[in-house]
Amino acid sequence: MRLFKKSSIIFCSLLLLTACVKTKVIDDVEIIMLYGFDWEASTKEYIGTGVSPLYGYSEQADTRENAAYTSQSSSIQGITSQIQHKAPFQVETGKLTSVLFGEEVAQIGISDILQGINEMPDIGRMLHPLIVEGRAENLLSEQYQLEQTLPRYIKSLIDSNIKRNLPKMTLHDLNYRYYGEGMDPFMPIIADRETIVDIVGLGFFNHDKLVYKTGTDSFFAFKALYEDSNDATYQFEWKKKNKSLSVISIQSNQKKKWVSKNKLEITVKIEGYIAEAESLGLDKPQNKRKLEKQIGEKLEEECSELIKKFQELDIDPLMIGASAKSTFRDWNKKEWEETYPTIDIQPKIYFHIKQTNLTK
Amino acid sequence: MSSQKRKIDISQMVSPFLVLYILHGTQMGEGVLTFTRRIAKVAGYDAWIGILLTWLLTTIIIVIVWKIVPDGQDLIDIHHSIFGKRFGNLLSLLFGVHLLSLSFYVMRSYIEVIQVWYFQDLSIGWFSLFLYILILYLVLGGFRTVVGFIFFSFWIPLVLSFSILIAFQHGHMENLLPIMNTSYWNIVKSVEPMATGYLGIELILMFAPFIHKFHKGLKWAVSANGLTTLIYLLVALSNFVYFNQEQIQLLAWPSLHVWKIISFPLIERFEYVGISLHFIVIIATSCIYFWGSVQCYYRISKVSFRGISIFLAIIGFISMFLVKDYLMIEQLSNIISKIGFCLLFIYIPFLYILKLIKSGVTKSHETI
Repeated sequence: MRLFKKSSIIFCSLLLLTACVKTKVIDDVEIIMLYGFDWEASTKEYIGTGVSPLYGYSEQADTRENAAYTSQSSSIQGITSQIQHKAPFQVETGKLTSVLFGEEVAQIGISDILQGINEMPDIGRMLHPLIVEGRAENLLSEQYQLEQTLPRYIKSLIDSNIKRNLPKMTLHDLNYRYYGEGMDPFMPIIADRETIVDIVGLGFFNHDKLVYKTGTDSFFAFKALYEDSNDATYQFEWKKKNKSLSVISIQSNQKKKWVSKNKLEITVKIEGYIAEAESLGLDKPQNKRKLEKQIGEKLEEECSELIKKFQELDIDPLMIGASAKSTFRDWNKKEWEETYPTIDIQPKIYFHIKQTNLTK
Repeated sequence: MSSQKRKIDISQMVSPFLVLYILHGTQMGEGVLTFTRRIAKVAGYDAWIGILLTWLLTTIIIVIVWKIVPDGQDLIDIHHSIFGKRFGNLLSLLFGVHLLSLSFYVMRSYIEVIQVWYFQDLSIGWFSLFLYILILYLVLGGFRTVVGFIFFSFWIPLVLSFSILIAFQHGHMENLLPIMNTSYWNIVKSVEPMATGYLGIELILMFAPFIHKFHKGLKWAVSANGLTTLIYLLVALSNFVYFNQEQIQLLAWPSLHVWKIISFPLIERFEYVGISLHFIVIIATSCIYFWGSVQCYYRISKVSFRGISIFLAIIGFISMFLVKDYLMIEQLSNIISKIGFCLLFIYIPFLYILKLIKSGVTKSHETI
């Protein structure tokens, strides 16, 4: 009898083994992996485009296809729920890999979108924020002939470039710079070039508005000033000899040193190899030193130009304000904003060629 | 006297070294997810100095607790001997309310985390019903069962706190500079929100007679406090280098946001693992407070232990529905943190002084 009582209790409690929430079956969810945002000036609404990869709908197809759902709303949550109306399955955003901002929306300001994204708990913080040249919707709705799905393609495009010349920028970094004092965010710009997607430059923000764009040629100068790099490359135009040299596998270290309250030195130590160095006579020490100096000077020039531009536009992607904040005890935001454009910022580049090559 | 009837025999006691697990388990609750935001609000990023200060103060309080409690007695006996039976019981009653509300708060705020991060449509009723059944099961099993559960929960924050080290890799060390950029007074003020994370010391007053050779437990309690400090310091520093001061104020659970950077091929987001594992810690913390509260009422009344625990579980279950949203939880946590602060740093030293006076008076009486 006791055994019966016990086993019946156990059996009854098995009935309670149901979840308190609704179930989600992995085959029946629409996984949105890319989000693109645009601004519709006529209705003053955001246009959101969610891209989800389509797997396994046909066995023959080699290339992966994407489904792009576009909807229009004045808030981000509105866009998500509108996309739900168009997608056949339940929309999930947990696998988001990048967020794309159309150029127009970036110029107007991304703060609404950013706050909307931050409120979704299932989104990670290591995804890539990107600016799209033109409209994000156009880039996302195009069908590309890719080996991978479009979201994965863009993710690996950015990931592999971050290892090289592209300065690192994730959603967390963006938030950090957006909310923090004495710093401004930036993002890589991508564009739709015929059949594939390319990185075409960097876009710099003043708080939440895109104010300045550079091309790919200034990537290294910015990266050298901004963070340490491990495997960057640099194209040096040697005007004297009318030659173009490429410096490869660059390792660089940057350090900010405040000489006084109005003078900052950014010391960058760079080491790299020169490709195709045979004809340059680098085996002679004085030649090598000469070249090092020239490359250093050229880079310094490029860096000062960038810095001057930043100061002119009153933007601080190099986080100089934050560095001042941690150096000077009496730092305050208002005073800093007034003095920032007038501060003397000197890039000091020490270039060193490590020359050993496969061919002697 | 009723205390004769309710004497604890050796089969209910635990070894003194288990105080390490019990105290650490009680201190490490839901607070570890949020305290960085609270202390940074008061003292900025110098608040980590506040953690060290709180550590010093709480260590002193622990020593005082050991001075107050003689072997084989608990807070109810002490209240009786100092304030007399009636007033003593009234104070014990209030103390029981404090313990019960802490037990409730830990659980309710954790349910909030689940609701925000996992399932928006989680039904609080069903979830807390099963939680209370579990807690009742543990508590009715006696003090040893509760301690057994805490022993398992002990390892989880210890392991999880290592995962948070990843923040240093992505962080900005210069956030901590310049050190001591805020006033001394602000750092002292940060002790108040920080003290919530050290609550659990007052519970020693309740379970003291359950510790075999109680006087030997002091060194374990002090080391538990040190371990707690170490984990808090690690979490605080990692949060501070990872977020800047403006950003951290906007995050409800900063530590969970740090976990967002960890990603494995199989598990896209680590915070989901972290939250689930933390559940065991939450149950343990909530359970020991619940036990303390039941024990408190059991000692001052004549009702059976089982009766009181079922009654309190029903009260806790009903209160789940009364706290409706995040704002109420924040309010509750502010109240609890203030009460806890007063309890630790004012009431316990006050008790000690009273006890000293009392023993002085009795001694002088004896000599006459």
